Amino acid sequence: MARIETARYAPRGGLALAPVTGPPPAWREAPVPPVLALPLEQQAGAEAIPCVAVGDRVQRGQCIARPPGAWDAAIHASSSGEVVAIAPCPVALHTVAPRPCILIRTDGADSAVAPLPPCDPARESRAAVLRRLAEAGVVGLGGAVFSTAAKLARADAPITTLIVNAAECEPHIRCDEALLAHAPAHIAAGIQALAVFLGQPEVLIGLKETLDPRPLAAALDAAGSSAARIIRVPARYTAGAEDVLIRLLTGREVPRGALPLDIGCVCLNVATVVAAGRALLAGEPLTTRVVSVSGRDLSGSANLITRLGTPVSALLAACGGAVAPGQRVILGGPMMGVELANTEIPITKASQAVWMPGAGDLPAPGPERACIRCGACVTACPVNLLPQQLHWHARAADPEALTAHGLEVCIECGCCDVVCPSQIPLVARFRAAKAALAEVQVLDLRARWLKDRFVAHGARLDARTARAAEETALRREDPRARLARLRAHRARKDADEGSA
Amino acid sequence: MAWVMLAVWAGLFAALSGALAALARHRPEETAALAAALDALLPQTQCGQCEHPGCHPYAAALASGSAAPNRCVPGGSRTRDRLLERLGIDEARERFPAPPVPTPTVARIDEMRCVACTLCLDACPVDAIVGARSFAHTVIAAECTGCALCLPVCPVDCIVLTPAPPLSDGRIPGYPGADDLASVRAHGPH
Repeated sequence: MARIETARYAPRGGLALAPVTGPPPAWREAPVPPVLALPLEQQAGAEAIPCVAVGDRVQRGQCIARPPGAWDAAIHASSSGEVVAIAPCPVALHTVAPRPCILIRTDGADSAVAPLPPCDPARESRAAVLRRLAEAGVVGLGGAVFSTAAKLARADAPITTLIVNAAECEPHIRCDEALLAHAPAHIAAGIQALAVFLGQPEVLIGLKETLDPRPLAAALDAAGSSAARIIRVPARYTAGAEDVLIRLLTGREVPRGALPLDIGCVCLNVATVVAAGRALLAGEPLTTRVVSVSGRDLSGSANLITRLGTPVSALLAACGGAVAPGQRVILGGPMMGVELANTEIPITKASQAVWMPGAGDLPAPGPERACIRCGACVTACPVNLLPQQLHWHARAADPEALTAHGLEVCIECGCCDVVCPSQIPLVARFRAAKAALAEVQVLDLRARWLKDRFVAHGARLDARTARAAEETALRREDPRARLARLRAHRARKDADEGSA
Repeated sequence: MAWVMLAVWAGLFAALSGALAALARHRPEETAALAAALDALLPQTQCGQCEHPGCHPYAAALASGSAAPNRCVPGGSRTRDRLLERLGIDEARERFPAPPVPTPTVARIDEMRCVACTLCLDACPVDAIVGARSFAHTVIAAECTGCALCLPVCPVDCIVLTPAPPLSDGRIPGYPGADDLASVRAHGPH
């Protein structure tokens, strides 16, 4: 029997947010929309290259774009239909901005390509397994959308601990809860496959304490992973952040600037584990994800199995909600979500929830007042930063001080914003400061590079001048001196040959 | 009485100016170290817009106290602030208004008009132009600083400045091909 325990390590910082009450959300498939929009960019920076053209017919599961990096995740059609355009459309990736998308007009048949042959990690090579994860488009579904193959390929030291993140800590995001209730067998099969691939590390499952661990425990036993330990973690906000969860489960701290891999841990969200398991065992590419849809004006909240590329409006319609004028729609949860001005924005692999806040939710912050150095933000920060100090250094735009105080460690969770009695929008300041800091660092790097090039340029010109001077000196040599020099040279040569 | 006062004032003035000169005239190695530190704060475009023949000469002039800290055009207010801080005159920002930073540009050669004279190859301080005699020249945009020093030497005026691509677009070390280039530099062409 898989062991069920309680976390031994206490959380640091974070917030006890009011849990969402009410019956568990309904679990069903969302309808396939008339048009799907699949962005070519999944993570910031790397844009995939389309391998279909406008007018092509595609089937569900067909690869439609390949990213440039070897271990980056491919993009697949999430239903069958015709590619009608490859054009910029508004997409929510960190911010809402137009990004190139492949638009597919669905035909309703939803025919699929044949699945790939299974890729059993017990028999296949490490490279084959990683290639399959990348080809099947598996990325971190907890919101980071980092390629799972790239994450696992980075491990050069052995991984001693596989951590499965089911701590889902932001209210209104209940997609992992739904997977635990409705697909425990898929989670267990994914855990088993990844454990085999990683060489049977210790498996720790960080489960939110308000969720029932028994279905998952039973599924783990059935799958033969009874050594896995289910550890119940407090239902406290930011318990689901990677570094925080690792500390809660193992007591180990990910050093600043390091990755969990550097302390022998790899941390994957439950939905990612399911996607990896389906990719390896069933050869299924990632074409759907579970999205929690909730809000006061909906006929009922639901966890919808959604085709990637479905517009948010279609999900709201599927839950009986119409967007009234002035109604706010949040993609994500109340703490880290983005407010959408346009509900035609498509669901991506990063979209965990769609939430329509009621009148009393998310009150607008009051006027900002001066920092009184109360230190409430220090207590709330789950990653041990000093937000009040960062605030001053961000105001002074002091890159050295910001780096010294660990600005890049900030996970932008928003706990400091909530507790600040002066209602200072700290996270927004930190985000801007991070962007400014990155720019300064790039400019400094470039200046050092240009300096090297300038020094090399000077050396090149000096060498050429020296060579030219030498040639000139030789040309201007007195003819008699030259004759004497050549004669001496000839005599030396003859003497050498004579002695040989 | 008047001449006594005059003498006192003259003496005071001489003492004061001597002290100031001593302050300004560091020991040579200190000045050189300060110049190197100031040079590291400059953007290394080598453009000469500060009216010195490059970043290091400007840094040396700053270190010896003969240049104002707001002369670096591509560096703008950020470089000015860093120079002021390093020089320990951080409170003097108002006295040294920063020059407006122009939009970053890179040079582009109209190859149809290039006569392949190689003059711009030597004028480029960061060797960002490739070409040879009777082979048309071209600018490697990722390496160009937009300093405009190649413009005046071109006998046919075939070089223009165009808006620079974003810095993320391979314009920092580690861009695709950087290793190949380093290897060619070190060992000659393959």
